[in-house]
Amino acid sequence: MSENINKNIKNVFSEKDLLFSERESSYERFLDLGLPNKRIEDWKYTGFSKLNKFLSQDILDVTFRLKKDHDQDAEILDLDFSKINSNDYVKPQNYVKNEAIINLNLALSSQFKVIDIKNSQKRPIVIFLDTTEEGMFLPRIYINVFEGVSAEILIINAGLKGFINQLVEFNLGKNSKLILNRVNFSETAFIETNISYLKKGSCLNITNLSIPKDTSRYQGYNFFEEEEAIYDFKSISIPRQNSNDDILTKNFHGSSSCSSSSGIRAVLGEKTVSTFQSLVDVKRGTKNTIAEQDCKAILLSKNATMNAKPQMKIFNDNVVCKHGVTIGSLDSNQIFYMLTRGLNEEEVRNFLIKTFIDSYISNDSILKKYLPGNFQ
Amino acid sequence: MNNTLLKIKNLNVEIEGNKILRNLNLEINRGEVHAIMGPNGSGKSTLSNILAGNDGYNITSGSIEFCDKNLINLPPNERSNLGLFLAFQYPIEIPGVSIMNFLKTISECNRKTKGLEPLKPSDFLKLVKEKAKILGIEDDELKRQFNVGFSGGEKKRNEALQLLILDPVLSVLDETDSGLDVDALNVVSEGINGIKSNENSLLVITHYKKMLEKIQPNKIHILINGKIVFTGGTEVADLIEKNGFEGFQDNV
Ligand SMILES: Nc1ncnc2c1ncn2[C@@H]1O[C@H](COP(=O)(O)OP(=O)(O)OP(=O)(O)O)[C@@H](O)[C@H]1O
Ligand SMILES: [Mg+2]
Repeated sequence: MSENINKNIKNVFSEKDLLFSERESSYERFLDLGLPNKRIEDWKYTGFSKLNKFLSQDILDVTFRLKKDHDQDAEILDLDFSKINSNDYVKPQNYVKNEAIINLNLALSSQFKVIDIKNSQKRPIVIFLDTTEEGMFLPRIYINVFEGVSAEILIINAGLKGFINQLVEFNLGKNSKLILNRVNFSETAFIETNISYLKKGSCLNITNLSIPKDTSRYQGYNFFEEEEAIYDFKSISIPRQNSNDDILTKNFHGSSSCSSSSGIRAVLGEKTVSTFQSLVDVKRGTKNTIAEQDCKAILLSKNATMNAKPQMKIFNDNVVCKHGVTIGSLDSNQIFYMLTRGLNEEEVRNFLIKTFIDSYISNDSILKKYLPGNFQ
Repeated sequence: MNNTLLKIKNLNVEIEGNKILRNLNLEINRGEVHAIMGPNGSGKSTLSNILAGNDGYNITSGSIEFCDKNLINLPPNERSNLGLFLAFQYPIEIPGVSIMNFLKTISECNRKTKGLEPLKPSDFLKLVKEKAKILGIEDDELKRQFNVGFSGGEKKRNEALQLLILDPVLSVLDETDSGLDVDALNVVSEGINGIKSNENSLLVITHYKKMLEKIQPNKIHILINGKIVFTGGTEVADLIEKNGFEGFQDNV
């Protein structure tokens, strides 16, 4: 493995690259940590050993499209790597320790986009990412929501080929609000890392619709840097074609009076697998923390699997914490009742699943139209 | 058209090896109202569940014909499509679904099987409000989640509302009167009376004569230990109210 990477890093970046030493140390860190495998606690449900084959492949750019109305003033900039402050560059690995995937991105990323949202947006900004060739894709996006600004983003991931290791950071200024709707349509090995830095009174609201066709991982690390910030994450997981959808959130309550909520609704048929790991980490001395973790899964087949691991590290008693896990099949009494009202088995099943999903993706949600047809 | 709507012959039903219904015979003609009374555990709900198509029971012998079709192998939805409706003794809850949404779903499905287009939203709303009014259901209740947190009586009225919307050929009412207060019993009985016709039939399961006084059954059957031991007219309800089932048990 190391030779492959070595070849890559030297091929892609000359030693004149101003970030070369940062890249090199990230890459060494990556080599130390190794590819995600089931011996690593955070990856215990989903190995990604098959990624090995991608490491020798070319590093390519994802197709990145931004759709916004002409009167929207959000700007998307290609970042010049020579102008970036090296501390900012390696911030993710300093915030999230020991995550090889992040180090891999920092070591080899060739695509760095910055979206500055300086004014409140009336309509969502739409970002579309896809890949159509074999190779390794390491896009990085930095989304900056300025103080007091409210915005909505729809990000559609539709990678078809290769291995995508995507890093997205959210820097939320004081009293800003970002509603992020995320769709994961990927049909190839896909890992996305989100890191959010939340300033005072900011609010990050993520709804994730994940319907991958290949092994997929979403990991969100959220840092309450100042007080009174809110993080809310709702994920619908409907893996297709016996794929594996792995979701992890870690919410670091480093400031008082912040609230975090992470939840999943999984609908699992055939041999699909969904995983929900969620950590609430409350620093000593913080007050008035509210934290919630909530996992509900419907298993439509004997061979489907839901893994749930809620976790809490709380070092004080000034915390209101709720968590729940419910995994089961559809309620047979509800099914019978609805059958007696004339709906056939399939209609009843779709109706009940739709109801289950509705609590996260309501009728007026922008994500509605991306749901599989029978659940719309 | 054959005048017989429902014909149950020598029906025997078991659960986990226990005989629940024994050689049960029952024939209901179009336009007739029948009632079944019987002690707790005598098999009334078992019969209604069997009719609706609950597959949790073991039918060991006998036949059931409905609208000249063999009912036993039909799935519950096809029975419903033929015009059979069961108002459940213990209606279930469906969190996250409003009554309105539920009614819309079953109404559209029902109309589809009859080859009809869905009603326009405004017409549907009008229909539901009109039926709800008959049953004394407030508009606000229609927005609530299906049976979630409903009182016993509210749940029963919700069953009756579905019945009025679907307008079935045979309505089986499994203790729809239990849990209703005096006023609610009056309006619900009125509502149900409203769907009586020469074509439609009712099978009313009850413990009380109050509803029967309103609905005026043609026949009252007494079910004891899974067997119909006596069939008579409205006078039977008075006898039961006075003496309980003891007199009838002697006839078994
Ligand atoms: N799923 C089941 N498993 C085991 N026994 C059952 C089941 N369902 C019904 N029974 C038994 O069958 C018998 C008849 O029950 P059923 O519910 O039909 O009575 P019922 O006449 O409707 O009584 P009630 O007037 O109390 O509603 C009872 O002894 C009951 O315990
Ligand atoms: Mg009963």
